[in-house]
Amino acid sequence: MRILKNPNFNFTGTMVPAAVLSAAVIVAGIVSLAVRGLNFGVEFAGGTMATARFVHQPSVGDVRSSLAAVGLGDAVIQEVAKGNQVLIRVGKATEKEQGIGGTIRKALYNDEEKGLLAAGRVDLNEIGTDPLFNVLYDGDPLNLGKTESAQAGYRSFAEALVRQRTVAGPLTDFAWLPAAAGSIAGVDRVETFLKDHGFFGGYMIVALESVGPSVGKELRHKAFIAVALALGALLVYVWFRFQLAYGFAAVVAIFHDVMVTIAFFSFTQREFSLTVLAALLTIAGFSINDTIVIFDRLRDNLKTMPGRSFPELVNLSNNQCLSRTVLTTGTVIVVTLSLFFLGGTVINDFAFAMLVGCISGTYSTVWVATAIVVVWERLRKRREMKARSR
Amino acid sequence: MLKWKIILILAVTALGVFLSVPPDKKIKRGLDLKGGIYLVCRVVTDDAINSDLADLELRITQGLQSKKIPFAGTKPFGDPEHGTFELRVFGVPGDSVPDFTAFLKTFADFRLERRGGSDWALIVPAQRIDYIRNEAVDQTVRTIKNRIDKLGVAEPIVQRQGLTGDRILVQLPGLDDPERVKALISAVGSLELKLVEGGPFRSRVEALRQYGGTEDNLPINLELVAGQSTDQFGVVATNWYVVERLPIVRGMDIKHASEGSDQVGGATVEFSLEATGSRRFGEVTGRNIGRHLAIILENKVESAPVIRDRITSNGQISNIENPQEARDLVTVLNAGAHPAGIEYIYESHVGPSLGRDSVRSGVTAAAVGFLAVVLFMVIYYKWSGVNAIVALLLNIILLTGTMGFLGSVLTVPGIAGLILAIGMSVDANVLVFERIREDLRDGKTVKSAIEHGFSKAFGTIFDSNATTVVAAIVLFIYGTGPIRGFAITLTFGLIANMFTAVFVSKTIFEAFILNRKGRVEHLSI
Repeated sequence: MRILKNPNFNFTGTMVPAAVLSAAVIVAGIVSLAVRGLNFGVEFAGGTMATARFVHQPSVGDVRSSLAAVGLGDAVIQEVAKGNQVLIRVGKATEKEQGIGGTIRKALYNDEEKGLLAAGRVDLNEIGTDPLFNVLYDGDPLNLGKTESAQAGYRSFAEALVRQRTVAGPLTDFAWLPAAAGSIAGVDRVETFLKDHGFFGGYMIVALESVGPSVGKELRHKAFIAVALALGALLVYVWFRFQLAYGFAAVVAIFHDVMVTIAFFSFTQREFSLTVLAALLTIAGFSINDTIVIFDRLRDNLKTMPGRSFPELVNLSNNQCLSRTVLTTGTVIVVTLSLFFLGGTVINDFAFAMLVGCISGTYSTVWVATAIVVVWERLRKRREMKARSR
Repeated sequence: MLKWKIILILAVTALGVFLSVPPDKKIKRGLDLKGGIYLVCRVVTDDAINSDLADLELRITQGLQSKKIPFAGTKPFGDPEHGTFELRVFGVPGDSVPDFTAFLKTFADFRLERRGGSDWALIVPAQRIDYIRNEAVDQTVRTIKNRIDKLGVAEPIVQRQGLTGDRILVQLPGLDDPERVKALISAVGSLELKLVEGGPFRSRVEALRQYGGTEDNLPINLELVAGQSTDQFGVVATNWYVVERLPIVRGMDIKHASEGSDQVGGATVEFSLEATGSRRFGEVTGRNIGRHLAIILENKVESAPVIRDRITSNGQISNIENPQEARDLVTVLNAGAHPAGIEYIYESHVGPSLGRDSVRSGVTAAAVGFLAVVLFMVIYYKWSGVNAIVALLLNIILLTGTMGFLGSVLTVPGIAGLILAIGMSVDANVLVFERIREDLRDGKTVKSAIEHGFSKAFGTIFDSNATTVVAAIVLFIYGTGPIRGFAITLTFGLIANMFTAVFVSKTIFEAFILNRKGRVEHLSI
């Protein structure tokens, strides 16, 4: 089985339409950046991002008004359909606002729950294993006294509760308790005790990240250096392997890929986080391979076929390497698609960046990098002829 | 020759499997996969310097009093922005100056300056300031570790960020109640017992009325402290007290704290004092029966019971909301107070449920990605495709084995890196196979096509992975924890690729094709 048997596409001939397409996408991207900007993650922009998992999906409006009541009215709230989750993002962050996590948590309780908390009841969906154990051990619903078996028994109840809410999300009842308690007796007394001393809060905070201005500034600084360093290193690498013209062409191709990916992040307003930046740098390192392979072939062809014109040889080199280019990018795209559809919410934006970057990378390898080299050569010849004719 | 190659490959595989199976125990998981808390704290080192000044003040006043050197009063003064910290001593009469300066010679760490008339200042030199700041951070690392010990966290990490500076990193895997733990860590734990001059007053204004209504007019031996009290109806009110500035007993004088309960069953914390503190406590309470004693926790008055009797060794803190709070306070008091305040400048908390979901999604995506690649390779390259898949499997085992061996941490982006490495690793095989196909089309024999295909393989594969590895190394140097995990899996995966795609693949060809006697007519590729 073979794909692309003896391809003979005219890449240099279609240089201009390709350039127009690229320019269109990039210009649209720049416009989008100016108008909507990028949805920078909290690591870049500072602020707090919390993910809350509710028992019943709340309305965005309700969540916003609860947060506004504690001074977090600037909250950006996003519903995540899977698992009744809500993403909350606020500008205030931990350095200037110690205890922002606690503020958000308290705000998400409804009035009834706030009353229960004030009365000294514990939220069974929030309490940690140790404090829950302490509540049971002190309260001693099974009348075991302060013995070691009491400790072991109550600890296993506490762990069972925490394990259940880890697996199933926020709890609403004790239906799971008999099964989890196993051979320990007196389950209904424990249940009654917990019902009296606790309540099931309506949500769980499953993730929270708060980036204060000091740390945010440092992360931005580091990100900038990383990008500059990576691009610099790749430019130097190609320059040494070939010549400046090729190095320049390769870097332009990378810029193209980065701009296209950023453009798509601005169009879709997906979160541009540090991880997405990592995807961009990985694309840069990966897609430059195909470019190097084609330049390698071009250099060979220039030596062995001196008679043919430069653009013709560029086309030939592109076509000779085309099946390899498509196959190698293809395998990466296949695994990235798997990551995109199955990898979970945390890594989804990264997978999106890799997909866009890969596709753009292949395109820029055959149309952009080689086109730049052709144009450079044309300009060089023109300069040479002008110098000779004087 | 071939035999040894096969043995080497099998040995390496076995080692890789041993180092990474079972993955639950052998591969370390990052906080984003395990769940846990990651905190970056800043130590407010100015507090430590002020504390040093307060100490100095105590020693000087006691010393001057015992040597019967008259003075009007003392006051510490700190200006962090300009880096000046000093203790001012007022009203030393002219004829006492020789005795005064002689006594102060014993405080050689400080610089004595006359401030005109009968006023003097003991200045904290810059060297001492730097030393105190540095010590404060080290000390805070120790006290945080002490407190965390009580939490029973497996594999906690508490360390200074960088060699200098005021930051501390705290990593607590597996914890599921971040707010409580954060409060436990950042509570300074400063406990002081001070004599009450006046109070409780219902407002600041009332408290200061005697002193002209502003805090500036307070005599230098007094200060204003707020307190909170809850009456029997659960109503919370803020009171104000005017107390003596110098404490009788401080946190470091506490020998041991424990939980207790009062007559009505409310939670309390009982504490006992060390010998010197105990003596001083006895002296002062003996002289001041009938006055109130303010128990000040974190610069807030917890309670101000009346001194009925000379107390020497024990005290009680009541007014505590619930037994869990009492337990946490006991942990803080026993672990020691922080030398300075702590601010959080970064925090990240991943709940165990999200961690679990991420592991599941990651493994599913990796499995499906792997299967897709297997499908493609087998369909496109037939039996040679199987060869490539075997090499790929080995690649993955080498990657996980290396991670298990080095104790590298697997993160969510790390799983993505593994998946990408799967996709990029087969490229090496694709390179070689395409070249073999070309040679076969050109008419070369099977054996020579294979030899030729692999001949320059290593250089080409190195080349094609090198740029990606360069990018990954930059990410490792400048990336945060999770991104480092990505850089690690991608780099190790691609480096292992050099071994598996060239050596292992070729060995498989050797075993099945190259070592056959005579010509081989057909290659399944």
